[in-house]
Amino acid sequence: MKIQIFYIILLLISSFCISSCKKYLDAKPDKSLSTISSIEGLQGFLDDYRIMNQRCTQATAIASDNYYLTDDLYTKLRTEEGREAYLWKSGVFKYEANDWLNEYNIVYMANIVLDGLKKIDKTARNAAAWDNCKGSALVYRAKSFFEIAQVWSKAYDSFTAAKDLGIPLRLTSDFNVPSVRSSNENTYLQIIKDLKQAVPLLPNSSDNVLRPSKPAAYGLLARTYLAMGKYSQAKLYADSCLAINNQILDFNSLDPTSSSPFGPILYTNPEDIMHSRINRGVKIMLVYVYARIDSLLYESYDSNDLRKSIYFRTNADGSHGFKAAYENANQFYNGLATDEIYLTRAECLAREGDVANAMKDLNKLLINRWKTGTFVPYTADNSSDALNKILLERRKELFYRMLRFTDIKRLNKEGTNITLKRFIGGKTYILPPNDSRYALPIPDLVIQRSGMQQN
Amino acid sequence: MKKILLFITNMLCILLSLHAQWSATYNIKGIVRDTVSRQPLEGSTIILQKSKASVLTNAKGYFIITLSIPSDTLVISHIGYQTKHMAINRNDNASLTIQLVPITTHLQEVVVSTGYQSLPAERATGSFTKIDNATLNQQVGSNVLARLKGVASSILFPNQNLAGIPKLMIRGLSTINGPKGPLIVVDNFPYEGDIDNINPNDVESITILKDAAAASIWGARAGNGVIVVTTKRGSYNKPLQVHFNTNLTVTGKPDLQSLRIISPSDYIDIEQFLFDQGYYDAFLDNTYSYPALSPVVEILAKRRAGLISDADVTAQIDVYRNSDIRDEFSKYFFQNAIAQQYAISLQGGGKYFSYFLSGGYDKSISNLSSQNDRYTLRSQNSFTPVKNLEVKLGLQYVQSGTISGKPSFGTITVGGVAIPYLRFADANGDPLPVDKALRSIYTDTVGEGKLLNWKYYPLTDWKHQTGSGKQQDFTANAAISYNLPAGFSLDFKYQYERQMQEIRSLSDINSYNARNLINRFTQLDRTTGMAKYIVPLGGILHLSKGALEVQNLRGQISFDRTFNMHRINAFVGAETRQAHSIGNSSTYYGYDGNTLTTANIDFTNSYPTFINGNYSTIPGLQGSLTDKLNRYVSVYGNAAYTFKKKYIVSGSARKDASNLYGVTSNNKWNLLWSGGIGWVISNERFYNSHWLSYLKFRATYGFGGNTDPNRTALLTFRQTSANTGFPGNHDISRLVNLPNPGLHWEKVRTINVGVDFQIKSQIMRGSIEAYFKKGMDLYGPDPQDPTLGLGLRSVIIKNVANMEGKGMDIVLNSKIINSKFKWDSHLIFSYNASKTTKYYLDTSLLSASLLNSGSRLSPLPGKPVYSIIALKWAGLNTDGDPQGYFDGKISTDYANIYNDTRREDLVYKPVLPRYFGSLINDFTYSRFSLAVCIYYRLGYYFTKPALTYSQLFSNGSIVGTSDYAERWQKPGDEKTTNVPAMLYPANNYRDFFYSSSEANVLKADNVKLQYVNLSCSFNKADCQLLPFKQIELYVNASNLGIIWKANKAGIDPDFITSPVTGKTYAIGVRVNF
Repeated sequence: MKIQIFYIILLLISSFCISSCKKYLDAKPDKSLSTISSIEGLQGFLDDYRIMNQRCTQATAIASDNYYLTDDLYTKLRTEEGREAYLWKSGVFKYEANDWLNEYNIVYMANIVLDGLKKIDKTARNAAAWDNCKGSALVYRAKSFFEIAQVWSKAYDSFTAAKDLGIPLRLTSDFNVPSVRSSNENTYLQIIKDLKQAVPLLPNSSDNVLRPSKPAAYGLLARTYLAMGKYSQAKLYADSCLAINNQILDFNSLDPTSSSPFGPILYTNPEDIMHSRINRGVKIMLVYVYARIDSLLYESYDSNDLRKSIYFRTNADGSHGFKAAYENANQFYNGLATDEIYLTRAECLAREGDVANAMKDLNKLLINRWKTGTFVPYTADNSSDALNKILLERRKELFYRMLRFTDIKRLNKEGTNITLKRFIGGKTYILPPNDSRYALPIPDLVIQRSGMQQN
Repeated sequence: MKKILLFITNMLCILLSLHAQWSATYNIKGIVRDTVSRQPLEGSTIILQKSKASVLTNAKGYFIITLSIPSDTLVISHIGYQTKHMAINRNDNASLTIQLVPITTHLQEVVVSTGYQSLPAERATGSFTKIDNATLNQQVGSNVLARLKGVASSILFPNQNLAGIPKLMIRGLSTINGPKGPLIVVDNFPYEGDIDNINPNDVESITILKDAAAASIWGARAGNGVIVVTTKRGSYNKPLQVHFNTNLTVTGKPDLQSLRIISPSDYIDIEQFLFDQGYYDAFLDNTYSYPALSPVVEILAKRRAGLISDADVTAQIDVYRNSDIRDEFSKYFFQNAIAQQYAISLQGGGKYFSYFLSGGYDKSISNLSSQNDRYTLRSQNSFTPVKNLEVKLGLQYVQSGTISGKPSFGTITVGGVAIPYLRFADANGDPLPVDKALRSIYTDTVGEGKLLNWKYYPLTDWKHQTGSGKQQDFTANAAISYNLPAGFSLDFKYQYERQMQEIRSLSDINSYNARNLINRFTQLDRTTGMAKYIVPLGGILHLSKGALEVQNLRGQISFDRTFNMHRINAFVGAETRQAHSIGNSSTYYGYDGNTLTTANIDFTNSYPTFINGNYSTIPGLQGSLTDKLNRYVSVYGNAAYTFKKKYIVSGSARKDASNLYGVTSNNKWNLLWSGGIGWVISNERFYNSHWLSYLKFRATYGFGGNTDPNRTALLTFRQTSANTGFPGNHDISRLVNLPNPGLHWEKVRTINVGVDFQIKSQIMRGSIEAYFKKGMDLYGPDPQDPTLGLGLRSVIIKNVANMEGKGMDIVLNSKIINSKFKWDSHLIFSYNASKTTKYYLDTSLLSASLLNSGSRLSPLPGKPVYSIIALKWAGLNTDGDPQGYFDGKISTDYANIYNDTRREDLVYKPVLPRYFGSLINDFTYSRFSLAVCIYYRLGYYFTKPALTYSQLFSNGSIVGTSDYAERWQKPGDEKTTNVPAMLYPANNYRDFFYSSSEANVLKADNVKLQYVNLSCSFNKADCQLLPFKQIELYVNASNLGIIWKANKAGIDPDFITSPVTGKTYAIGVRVNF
């Protein structure tokens, strides 16, 4: 009898235990830690602007032609990889995979959010936040894919794009999925797909300029189509972008003597559509201490052109260095602003032969760059004259905006024949148009660990 | 009663013997004695096997028994003695002397406790070490685990400052990145609290569970071994016993001269040299932050400015040449440490209950005047209200407090530079200021009297910057056990523990810390002389509180039964445990202790700082909150089967589950098991060795686990407030753990084989064991493709590493002399070696990042888990420059040697002792006994902190700079020294090379006198006047220093960067009422 009672008790205890065990063990071990369960938690990943908006690649700027180094400055560079990058050598990022790592870190965060959203139901209450979260993640991912493609894959060429090597398109946060390079065609298709998907999800104006918005998605579409040489689509999306935000900053409102003219309007610049900057990392060669500005380029700015004193500074030795554009001093903006979109639209119009409207867009921008009352509007005789003027102004306006490398690659495809040259140690290093080195070598560590194909 | 019985039997004997006179019977007389002591044995049973007659021996050991048949067999037995059979017949000598051999086979009396059951060591297959009360009492410290030092085999006290290494380890390492400390169990449950809360006087014994069979019952936390502390409790049917113990311990000042730092005079010479080289000019010209400079540099600067004469300079400098900072510290800060310990206990019991009550008070003042006190109260009571039911209730309350003391050596620097000469007091003993961060020439005048005094006075500052801690620990437990029929029994146990901790640190308004912070943010209006305080006037108070609440619940069914030659002992059970810790901390500014007022402070805005007007936010600790909860559920079982007391088979299994993040419920359960066999060879019929009276062989195989609650399998993140400087002010999410679904607990497989033996009459007994451990699926980094985007973590932690350990434990206890004078000797020898067998290491790593002085983990496959990794040394060249090897050739290309030496050309040395143990000799004569413990550790290395000129110039007199006196000075010196010539400016790579070269890797092997304990006890029997049953006086000495060391540099490997601690002497008394 006693034994029977005992077994009954035991049975009760064990059945109680089994049913309550799962719940008991599902308790949170550390209250300060969270798991994915809310939109706010996911949005928080995207709002970590130090990762999402401040780790963009710098390789395009290092490899392009806006600056030069003297022998002395070249040897003073802190890292060997900086020296190699300057000469487009294959050892770029041999030891550290900073740019690759940083851009893919943004992609990973976006993928965490996109995967996380699958676990959260969209309800009437959270619909706006849910959409914004998804749209933002898609824009971040597309922007990073675009930037990675500019460094590590060839210029888009519709004839060869299906065969040309693109970038690994990581579309999941599951790190058991291996990284495989896609074609250039698929790379750009994915970027466009992400952005188009984001457009209806995003608001016309975001909470702050660091967060993506509808005009940001349109603007990035314009940027992407332009890079692909698809000018009619580029114009279309530039139009859509400017339809929402067409403001231009009057540079007369800035203090050209300030060491950081954009400091006061860092996140309130009316032109700013989506604010981001590059991660300078260890290769700080772009700062004025090292990088000297091509003197011909500097002199091409009119004396009444405010950009001459706002973008640049004069060094003690009389040479010129970069001061600031759309960011604090010594930082490098690579976000999206209306000036770029105006120039994109102007270029597309010029290519279509609409010289009048092209010059209208250009002049609308430039009048805000000259000292008040000094600007004489540009005119063009024909569409190629207009195109040349617009492309020169594009280079001057978008100085150090991480777009030059893309433009060189695109324009050389069309036969512009821009040849990059470096003079170091009495030797001249040349990067001829359409050279295979326009797709920089992928960091060795990435090749070693993923087994993907090198450029 | 016994006497009456004896009387009756004696009378019967006499009657029978009378009867024998006239019948055909025969009387056999005899005496029964102990073989060893020759003492007569009262109450021995004498039985005639055939005729069934029996008698008992009287008080003098005599007996008479009547033989009624011609021949019979005498069976002589006595509790605690081996039964003796003797054939006898009428013709034999009628007066016998029978000697009985005591069964003192200690081995068979040892009962070990696993925390789930207590079992005789004889029936165990696993590897246990038991430390009894007497051995624990040979040391007197207030920490119970510290008393294991030198007395327990396989326990190593590394005594080194190694990252991640616990204070003590059982059988070396079992993991690389997991927790490395053993599980501590007090009575039945793991102890989560501070081990200092256990009063050693309440401890009855300690059992160490070493192999898988012993420890695997503890499952996922037993990978590093288990230490089971068993506390004292009362026993039934025992009269009241009162024990009192008190002692006073004095520890001398540490030997600061043992610190290898440069002499003041040498250092001043270097300062003069550097001054002439212009080394200090940048500091002297710095009117931006006015960095503090040493007194000698200030004097030299005054001379250069023409403010003092050369004669004054020499005189002033000579004062410093004779003011060794070590003497100042010794004089003003260090004192003898004193500790007092009082403990009283009452125990006893009646037929249905037993009780144990104890109280303890410990108080100590350290060498640096910090204070500690501890009160402990404990009760353990048992009741048997009805037959077969036992209820046990225990309560424990501990309260302890600490108060900080004087500054420790090395904490008083000038602008962060260690200066070997400083003065803390003037000739009158009044405090002198030391320039801690700012130069006196600045702090003397800058405030024009409007700022708070900006000087730092080491002599008194510690009174104003104080820390104190309070801890309370309350434990209550209840256990019910019920014996069911047929050998079954049922147990339920519950324990609740709550530990509360409060830490308070205060920098009052007179402390340098508070004055400095207030001054730095003071805004002074030079015209009105008004001061505006951004940091409010008053003290800075930081409070933190934490509470830990642990609950355990266990239910267990046991079965213990003997059927003829079979004995089965088994139990199964389930338990759950929850540990919940919460904490908070906060900081108050402008604190006034008299009115308890505080002031608000603005941490977000920047304010101009006083010295140079730079804007800065107010640095400070802000509040924080923690809340952690760990839950475990386990089921376990254990069974042992013994056949004919010869063959033993045992097995044990356990499954654990926990609430670790993100493991799906199925994977949360982790099975760990073990099995063992034992064979008592000496119980075999064929066994006929007389000299080896006991021989047992045992072998086990099984798994223990290791778990780190910080490693989780699900993506986790922390939501925190926005980064400053961005618009929007949205909370952000930071990844804490990457999702890692495959993550599981580490497994440690252990194979243990052992032999227990005893030589006739206990001349020697002991055990020899060998073990092989394999840590599998250990946490280790797994390299990742950067494309995965895991950020800077291009590696993630997975179960990918392996390691192996092997070792041996030998324990030999001998009775060398066993007469009135007794000499017992205990020799403990342990061997342990471990190496990494699989570990990922970035192949692109330069040799520079592998070099390791031994203070951190260096898991390279094939090498010890903790290794010193150094560069080969080729001596000094004739210019006094150090030489190494590069590409096989002697080289002074330091940058290349340092960065690019191939892995196979590096030197690897183990950091943990491979051979260690102790020799304890106990001598007893009459009422006196003496125990001497010698502790040895062999087969390991340490890195001597080396003199590097770059550090000497910038950091001053840090440990290692004493080598300056032995530096190369002239050609020929290279034959006698390894210390490079001084070079200015210093060459960093030369310094890096030298300090990480083999020249500074020394053998650490040493033998120490761990303790000496002398005691003397008196019984009431000895002296009727004694008001107690027994009194024991004891004197104990420990930290007695090194007997032998392998290194010639005179360095005690336990004190590489800290001064050798003083010797400790204790005197005490134990009284039984």
